[in-house]
Amino acid sequence: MSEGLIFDIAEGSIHDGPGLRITVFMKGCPLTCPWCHSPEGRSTQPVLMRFPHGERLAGKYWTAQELADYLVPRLNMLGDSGGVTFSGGEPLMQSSFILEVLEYLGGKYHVMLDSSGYGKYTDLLALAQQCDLIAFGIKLLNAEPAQKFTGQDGGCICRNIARLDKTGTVPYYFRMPLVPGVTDTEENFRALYEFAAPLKNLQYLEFLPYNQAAGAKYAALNLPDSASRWANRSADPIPDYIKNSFEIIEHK
Amino acid sequence: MTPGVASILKKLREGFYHQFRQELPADFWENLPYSSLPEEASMLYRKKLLEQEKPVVLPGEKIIFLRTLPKITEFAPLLDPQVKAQYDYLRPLENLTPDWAVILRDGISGRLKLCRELMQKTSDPEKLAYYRITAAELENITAFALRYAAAATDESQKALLEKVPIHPAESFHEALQCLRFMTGCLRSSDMNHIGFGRFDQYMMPYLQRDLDNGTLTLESAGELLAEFFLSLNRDSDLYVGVQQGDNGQSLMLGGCDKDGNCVINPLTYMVLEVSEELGVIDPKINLRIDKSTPQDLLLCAARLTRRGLGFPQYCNDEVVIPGLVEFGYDLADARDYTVAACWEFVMPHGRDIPNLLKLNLPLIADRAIRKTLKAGGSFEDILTQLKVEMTSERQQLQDLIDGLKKLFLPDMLFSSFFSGCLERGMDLHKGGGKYYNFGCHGPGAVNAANALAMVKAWVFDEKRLTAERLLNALENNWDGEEDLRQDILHNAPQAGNNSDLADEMLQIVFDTFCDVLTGWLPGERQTRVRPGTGSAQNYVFLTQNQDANGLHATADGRRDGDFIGSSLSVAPMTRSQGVLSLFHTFGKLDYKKLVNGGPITMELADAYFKDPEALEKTVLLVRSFVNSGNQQLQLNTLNPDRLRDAQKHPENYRDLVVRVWGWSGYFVELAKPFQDQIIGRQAFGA
Repeated sequence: MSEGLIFDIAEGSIHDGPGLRITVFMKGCPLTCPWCHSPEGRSTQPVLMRFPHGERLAGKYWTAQELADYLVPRLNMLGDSGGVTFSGGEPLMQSSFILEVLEYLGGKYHVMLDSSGYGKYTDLLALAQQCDLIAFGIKLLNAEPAQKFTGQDGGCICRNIARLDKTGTVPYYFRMPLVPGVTDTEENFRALYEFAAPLKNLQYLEFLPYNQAAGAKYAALNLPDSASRWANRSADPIPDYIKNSFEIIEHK
Repeated sequence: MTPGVASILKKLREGFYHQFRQELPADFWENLPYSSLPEEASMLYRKKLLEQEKPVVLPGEKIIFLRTLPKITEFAPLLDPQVKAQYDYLRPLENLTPDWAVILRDGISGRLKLCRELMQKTSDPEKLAYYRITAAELENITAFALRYAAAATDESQKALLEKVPIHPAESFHEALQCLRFMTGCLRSSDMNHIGFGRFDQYMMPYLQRDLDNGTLTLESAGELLAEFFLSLNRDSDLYVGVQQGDNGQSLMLGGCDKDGNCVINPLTYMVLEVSEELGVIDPKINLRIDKSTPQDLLLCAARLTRRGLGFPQYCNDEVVIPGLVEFGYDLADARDYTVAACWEFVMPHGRDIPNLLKLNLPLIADRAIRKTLKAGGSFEDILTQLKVEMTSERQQLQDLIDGLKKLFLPDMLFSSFFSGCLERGMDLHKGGGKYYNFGCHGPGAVNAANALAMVKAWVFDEKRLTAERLLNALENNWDGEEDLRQDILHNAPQAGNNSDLADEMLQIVFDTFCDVLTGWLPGERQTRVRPGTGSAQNYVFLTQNQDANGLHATADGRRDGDFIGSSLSVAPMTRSQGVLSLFHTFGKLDYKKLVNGGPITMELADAYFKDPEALEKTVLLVRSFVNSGNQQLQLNTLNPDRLRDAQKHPENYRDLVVRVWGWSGYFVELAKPFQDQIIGRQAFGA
């Protein structure tokens, strides 16, 4: 039996898919987005967070059976009005663990994946076949800024999504954080439009506001606070050609 | 909010109504007409108080009555001292709901007519006395009502006050006025905690009639309801219970009829909406729900929760009713349940005393742990000792109850509107009712369970610490063992935190509690006892004590003086995995036995409601509560920083409402230990 490394579980989230959800945050992420709100999710080892009010170890190993035993009674409570979301970090990094958990769940619950799309295509496809919905956390589509901010050029992500789209395995949507001057630029919106327009199984685009909220976590991890460097945005930057071409969900 | 309602609310906030208050005259207590008949003493006392009342009728008011006398601290002063001495534990009747439908239907005159007819038909001296005194009570109310009518400032007020409560109510307005006036009369002699019962049920026929004949629209009815609610807040500080706000003005909405059919109606919604609009502490709202409760009603209730008043409190009919039937209530009565001042289920026809008793569960668990560990026993021995200690504590309750020769004074006014007492010619306390059970609270069960789970896991199974070290730490109130204590608070198994062991301990604590109380028949009536999961004020009372034999440091990492949780909640200083984990833990309890009530108490962080989808989410949470087979739920809101600031600057927070236990009050009016316990609760985020 494999073990998974989980850095948090949120009970009763409403932003990670339809209804009331249990979100499991899988530890380890290949991207290095400086605005990340969960920097404790990056490394693939448990990490100690030192807050002024005390310490907390982020990262606990669960067996697939343990996680399933935890999830099942709680998912039963939610009935048809919720489900489980595997988020991260990057859940593709622990796909075999997640697949094992899903086997225990037996296809009875609404399962969602919240992924950057970065990882092995075979892992993505295997998970997609067991999921009801995927949210792809799209950030930057052009290679140069993607490399600069996320540490990867984005090519892998676009190839994976385009390939998955052709299989028609599962509906999905994009979630994009609007980081001022980084992801909300004309070039990035244009690239987003060009990438997204031909996709057949893309349901809608969701835009998340940037806000300076994660600063304390960086200090607790003894990292420079890279997430608070942007000002909170005021004006709506989404261009009309995006709004007119896709269904949009925008959070203020 | 209409300008009229807004103006009354403003006056209320400014304390406008306090100007009418009077002191009792110095000679009030002189030349009292003592009676050796308790019924008569009770009647004469109410008469004297009502004669002292000064009618306050303000121009334009539609709901009229204002108490002007101060809070009464004397109880039964007119009872002959020799008779009074026989009442060891005398207290006012409370935690009951009269049959409001009968008051509205018959009016005082209808009951008086029936009373006189019945008097003609009997020669039984006891019954004759009963009817004579009842008639006098009803006549006194009539006289008082006419004094109010004489103080009317216009013709419509005069007509209203001459009509109700003397005659049957015929409109929604008259029905509201009747309730307001009669609750004032019933409460005049410190008979507190008289609830409003299933308000949307007995009031809807009056509203429907007015809507049908065009006298009222839903909007104008809402305005009357708002004025009625505000009137309940004008003098409720004179009915203070354990703390200011603990006044028992609670009402129940929703649920089913005697045949089990859903009875939600437009008034159910209106009460929730008006309460949300006003944002005042009275009345406290309860809502009966089940799996089929419509989405729009739960959304309406969620909006009230967002208002931050700590209500509605939800009751799950699917769990409550089978429990009450299992205990022995008739199905039709069980389906007609409401709650007492806080959460205790009360039935029509019942003279239950649902909050008389309590067992100190963390203390009982602590004694079992310490005694067994000192004797070198096993964990099984601790559980055996748990039952021994519980039974021994029960003996003290037995002694308390045996000492209660008589408990309550009879009250003819209340009896004349309750469960056919008048028809039978017998006061409620003398056997005019149908059920006579006691309730027993089980405070601090989560702390008790956590202590047992820690000992099982760390002392016995994993041997992370020795029994000796734990005993020393407890004796020394954890001094010198702060690292261990923190380790326990953060890492030991805890109920509500995905620990099967701690959940099992919680079940064992409550199963033992139920075993010890079931089949025990204390008192001269061989009364049965209903175990419950509520704490009431005991999260403060049991922990802030100077009693050497009281609750001190416990194995769950609690220091002496640290609080225990409110009813079913996360133990203070520990964190739950989340809301669903709490439902999972408490959903394992045997609510067929725990029939006295006691809510899961869950605080939502302020930020929770900043989310535009928070209302939908709240509905889903409430549905999860039902689906997980739980019994009762309080969803409160909490902003600890704001409360801390309110402690420093109370003048800026006079309207800040918090849920205290089974009721809501103004934060700045609470004693500090209650404020502190609330600040320390875990707030669940978005």
